[in-house]
This record gives sequence, structure tokens and C-alpha cells, in this order.
Amino acid sequence: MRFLLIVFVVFTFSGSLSAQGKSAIQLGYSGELGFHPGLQLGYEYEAKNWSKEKNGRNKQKSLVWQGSISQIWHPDTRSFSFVEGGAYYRTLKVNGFTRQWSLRVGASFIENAGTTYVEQEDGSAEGFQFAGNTYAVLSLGYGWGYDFRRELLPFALILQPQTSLLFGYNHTVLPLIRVELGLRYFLNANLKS
Amino acid sequence: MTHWIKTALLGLVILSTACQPDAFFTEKPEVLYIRRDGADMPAYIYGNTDSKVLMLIVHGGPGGNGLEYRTGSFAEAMEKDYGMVYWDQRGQGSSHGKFDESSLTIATLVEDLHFLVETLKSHYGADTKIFMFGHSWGGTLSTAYMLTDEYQKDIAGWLEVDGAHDLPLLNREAILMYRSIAQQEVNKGGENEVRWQEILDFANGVDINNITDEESGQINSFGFEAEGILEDVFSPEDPPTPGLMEFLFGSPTNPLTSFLAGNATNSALNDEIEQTAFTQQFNKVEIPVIFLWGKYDFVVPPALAYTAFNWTASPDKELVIFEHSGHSPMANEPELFTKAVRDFIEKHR
Repeated sequence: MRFLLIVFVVFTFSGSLSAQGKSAIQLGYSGELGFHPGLQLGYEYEAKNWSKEKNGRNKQKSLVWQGSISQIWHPDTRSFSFVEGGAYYRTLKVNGFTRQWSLRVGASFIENAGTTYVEQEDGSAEGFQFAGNTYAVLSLGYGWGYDFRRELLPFALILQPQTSLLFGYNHTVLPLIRVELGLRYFLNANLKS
Repeated sequence: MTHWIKTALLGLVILSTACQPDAFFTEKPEVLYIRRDGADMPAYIYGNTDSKVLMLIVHGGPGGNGLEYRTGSFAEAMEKDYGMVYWDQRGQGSSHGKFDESSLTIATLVEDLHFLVETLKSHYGADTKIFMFGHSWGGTLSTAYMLTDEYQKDIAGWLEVDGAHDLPLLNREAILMYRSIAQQEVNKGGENEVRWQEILDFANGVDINNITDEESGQINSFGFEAEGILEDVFSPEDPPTPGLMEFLFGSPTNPLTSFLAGNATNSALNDEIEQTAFTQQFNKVEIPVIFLWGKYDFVVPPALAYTAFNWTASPDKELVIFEHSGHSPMANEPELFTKAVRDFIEKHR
């Protein structure tokens, strides 16, 4: 519910963020190990783009700033909420295929399912809902997909596995593998036939 | 592109229709966490909690998790009659939090366990009877619990199942078992003769009065291998398993997270465990206790059960050796095991 509220707010205000047609909204599936289900909502802004010609073929490259929130639900165990920001380096071929590399930092809150009984100083237990812990996160990802702007549609479809490191998890660092499958919707896209 | 999408959707449809989960695995647990000393530790409670009897599983490892024990007919049978508490210990399974590695000691885990017992009594009522089931490393931890302060008085009965409560004794007895049984198997010949000879050579090369940490690790590895190739050990039943979709999308435990966190915790606890020898303190155990052991447990030899039984002070003590079992008699001989456990609980509830 909280996630849907944030989705609504971001879409409502996305128009004012879409200057010069360089920005996009991301919405997609984000699953732990690919399967434990979750959702991701992000906003990105293209900071720089340039093109490079190789063997007579043009390839567009861009540097994109990105911020996102995401949540992964483990039924009956715990939920992961992420707030992350960082940069994507992206390439786009004339045939529409695109690849991207990402480096992001942020925080993850792991929320316990059910009641968490916390030991008090006198040894007794007091119950709390929505208890959990926050961890610093560093994420590295590599993705690929298809950009439909070539077909006059303001979308791209991206599949991106990524490894996230949760620092201070227990007494060590926990690697977490996530797979994102999402749509990128380009705001005010300049579509030409 | 549309071809890819159609293919992916078709795959999902096939998966969802082809892999119907066993109803046992779609049941929803009651989940509670305990938090103490920097760690949040989940306990999943399934089964008949109206019985006012809870069996608290203290899992093995270190590095295992509670829900590993929710497989096979034993768990299914127990849940019909009693509440089953599958707890993930500090730094293992889906436990998380922020604590220093120096807090990973047996004493800290005993305090975690004590807090869990107190919390369960508070949550389900003071009249709830709690039976503690410690398997393998869980046997070490539950023994330490029984020997700490007056904690055992909170427990209606203790089931020690192939528990590693004395590592020096365990290592010596495992080597002696290897020498004896591996020699018999080599003499018999057969398809596993070469493997038995390798185990025998290893055992003959160990000085039982000076077993190194490396040799201790090898004793453990060979233990699982030996029971796997010994014909006298009944093969584990084909346990009920979750359907593929249920496992992929719905299982509470991420096996990769559990594996990685568990390994880190195992490493941190290993030195202390290697020195642990509780046998001669079993004279402090005064509550009803049953020792349940596989005759061919090379990982934790039955000599530990016999000596602990002899040292135990409690007049309500039983020893059951399963003739065709290794380290996990609940998997090797589930019907006999279930009966022994149920009889014990009914006697002391």
C-alpha cells in the first residue's frame, strides 16, 4: 500500500521533472534471486549523451543519473525496502538493442514479519510491529533490453541482474542477488518516424 | 520482441500448472521475531498450538536454519498433534541485525534461546509445555542451555538427537568407528570398497590423542559420506517437497542468504565448539530427557549418547538407538522416530 502511494505521487509530479525530454520513469519487477517478488519505481535523468561510429554503424551512448525505490516481499519472513541512487552508463544501437551498466548506493530496510519481541533491560519482552534494521547498500548491475522509440513508442524494456552488498548485516557483509525486469517510460519523448 | 514475451509468458504458465505444491508447504505460519543483543531472529510456528504443547527445534550447523526440519513425514505428523517452533539462530537462516563477531559465543546463543523460551511462554500462555529438540549442533546448544542457571526448569522435556555435546569425545569415537566399520566393509569388498579403503586409511593415520582441527573437519565430511554408502542405513524417505512455484516465489528462506550467513557464523563459532566437552556435566540435567541416536552416526557417534545417558541425573531418562539410521534418524526411520518422540511427549506433557 505504501509502495502504491509512492507510485501515485511520483507519476503525479513526473511532468514537472521531464524537462527537455531527457528523463524517464522506471517501473518494473525486482525479485530477489529473480523469484522472490518485488517492485521497483525509479526516475532517471540523462546527464550526457554522445554518439560513436564503428564500422559504419552508429551507437549512442549516455550517462544517466538514476534514483529508485524498491521493495521485495518474502511472505512470512521479512521485506526488503531499498532507496538507491547512482549512475548508469548506457549504449543504444540503431537496431534498438540497448545495454547498461549501473553503480548505485543507498540504504535497505529489512522489516520483520509479525511481531518482534524486544528484550528489555529487566529481561522481559515487549512486542513491536514493523521492526527491522537498516543497512548501507552498494549495487552493481549489468542489463540489456530493447528500446521501442525506434518503433515510435516511448518505452524501453530492460532486464538487469545485479549484485547488492548489504554492509553491517549480522557481523559481516551479505551479497544479495536481484533481477529487475522493467519498463522505462520516456517523458516527453521526441519520437520521429 | 513479441516472440520473446510470448515465450516467457508460456513458460510461466507451464511452470504454474505443472508444479502443484503439497498442501503442507502452502500453510501459513505464525511468525514472531525475538530481538536481543543486536540480532533479530525469526521463529516460524506451525501446527496444533491449541494442544498447549510446543516442540522447539534447535537446528544444526552452525549454519543451518529452522525450516530445514520442516520436511519429511516426521514434521507433518508432529504438526498434527503439537505446535512446532522452527527458530533461526543468531547469524543463521533469515536472522539479521547488527552485532559484533565477538558476541557469537555459545553463551550468547544460550541467552537467545532462553529469551525465546520466555517469549513463547508469554505469547502462548504460561501453562504451555515446551519440549526442546536439539539436533547435531543444536544438541550442543541445547546442552549448554540445560547446564545454564535454572533454565532447564522452563522445559517440560528435552530431546537430544545425535547432539554434538562433546567434540573431543566425538572425534575420538568417530575415528574408532571408522576403523571398525570401514575395515568390515573393505573385507566385504563390493562397489564401495575403494571409498571405504580411503576412509580407513584416513582413520588409521589419525592420532586419536591429538586430533587437529583439519582432521576434525575431515571426520565430519567422511561421516556424511560413510552413512551414505553404508547399506545398513536406510535411505532417507522421499520427503514431501514444495512445488516449484511455491519454492521459487513463496518460500520464507532464501537459500543463498541462509548459506552465506550460516557459513560466516560457523567460522566464527568453530574454535569454541572444537573445545566443547559437556559429558561430565550431564549430572546437572534433572528434567525428563530422551537421547535419540542413529546406530551408524559417524558424524556424532552413539558413544556420546551412551556416556551422556549414564551421566544424566534425571530419573526420567531414555535412550533409543535406531538400528538403521545415521545422523538424522528422523529421515532414515521416520515412523519409529515419530513414535518414540510422541510417546515421550505424551508421557511428560
